[in-house]
Amino acid sequence: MTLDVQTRTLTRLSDGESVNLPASASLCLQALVEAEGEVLSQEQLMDIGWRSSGVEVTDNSVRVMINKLRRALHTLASQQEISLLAVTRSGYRLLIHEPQATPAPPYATDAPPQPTRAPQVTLSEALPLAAVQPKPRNRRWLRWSAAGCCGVILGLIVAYTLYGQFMARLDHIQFVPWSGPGVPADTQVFVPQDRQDQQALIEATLSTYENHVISKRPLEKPAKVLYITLGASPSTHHQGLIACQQPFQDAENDCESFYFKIY
Amino acid sequence: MTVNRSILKFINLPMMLLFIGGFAAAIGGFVIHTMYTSPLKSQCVMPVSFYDIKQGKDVALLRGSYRSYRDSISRGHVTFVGSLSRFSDGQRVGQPVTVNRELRFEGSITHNLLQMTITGHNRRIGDQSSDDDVSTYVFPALHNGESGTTSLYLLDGKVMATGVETVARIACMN
Repeated sequence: MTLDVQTRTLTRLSDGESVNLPASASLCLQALVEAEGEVLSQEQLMDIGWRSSGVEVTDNSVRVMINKLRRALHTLASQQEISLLAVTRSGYRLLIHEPQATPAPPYATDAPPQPTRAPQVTLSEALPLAAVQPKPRNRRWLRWSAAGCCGVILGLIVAYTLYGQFMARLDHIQFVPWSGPGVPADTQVFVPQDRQDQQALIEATLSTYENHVISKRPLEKPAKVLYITLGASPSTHHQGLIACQQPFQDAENDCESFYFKIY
Repeated sequence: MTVNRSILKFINLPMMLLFIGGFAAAIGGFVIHTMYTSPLKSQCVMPVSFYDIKQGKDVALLRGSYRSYRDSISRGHVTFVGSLSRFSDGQRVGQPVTVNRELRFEGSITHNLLQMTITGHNRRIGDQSSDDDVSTYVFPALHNGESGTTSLYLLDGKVMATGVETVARIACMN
């Protein structure tokens, strides 16, 4: 069945039989179809059918309009498939009944089963009836999925923006192995990748470490790995290193940081 | 069900709830992912030795451990437990002084810079140090309202460290 909202004509598709509806009935039937079985209150129907056109009406007008709709459905012999129900103290709802499956007769032949067609009320505006497609019922799920996806995308954009503005971005320092004079026995020395040219400061730091730490802490287990911390300045007044028992790990490192301030 | 005949009739409650839910889920997921992958730690243990060497013979040695704690998004505190020893010509001068101090601060991080303003400072049990020694060797900014900055580094992609503008000096061990 098709409702043409332009001509306000309710048409039975099987034989083209049609009934003209008043404007208010056409608008309300359109809203009831779009509500997909949900209840619309009398107030909502009054808003849709009359007040949207600036006409003030009473509850009785809604009842009269509902009777006209029921009569139209009766005329088109669709009252078995399409019910317009009054819901006490709530309003009205339009129900479209699915056809009952017919059990196959015991003497069924090999002929393929004929698909049963669900009764439908479709809405058309200026389109010819033949071009009207039934409203897909899963469109609602597509809209809901799109809404969820939009929320996720916007949330990620906001999160990345806030992260870039407010979260810490640590300076990364990569160390590379270094060999040269002054490296203690059985010890690996690493220096920052971009400071390998500070040969004098590296050697001075190793010398200071040897004189003030290794020679003064004979009872302590000597470090196996030394990470020399170097700044931009080649001055030997500030020296530092991190002495570890093993190369850096993600956690539970066994290291001690040394800083030498020399006057 | 409300039939909204305005131009915004496609906006309804389930769609709005799904949109807000997706938004909240994305933000929440990102926060959890960041918390698990961020190198910033809520606690840090930093064993240090600081040598102050004058004329090659007079040495002040501060040895101990800093421990930093994040108390909230913008507040934290740092403790230092260790000792301060002095040497001259290789011989110890006096007894080592026990240092046991705590510093509370409000801070914020911008890029790799931790900006701190001191909100409290106190001695802890057993502390024998003077405020002059502490401000010289342990906490350069010591008094309420004083502020300071510390640069944050990540060494070899594994170890967080603090230091001055161009040098990482003290590494976080845990």
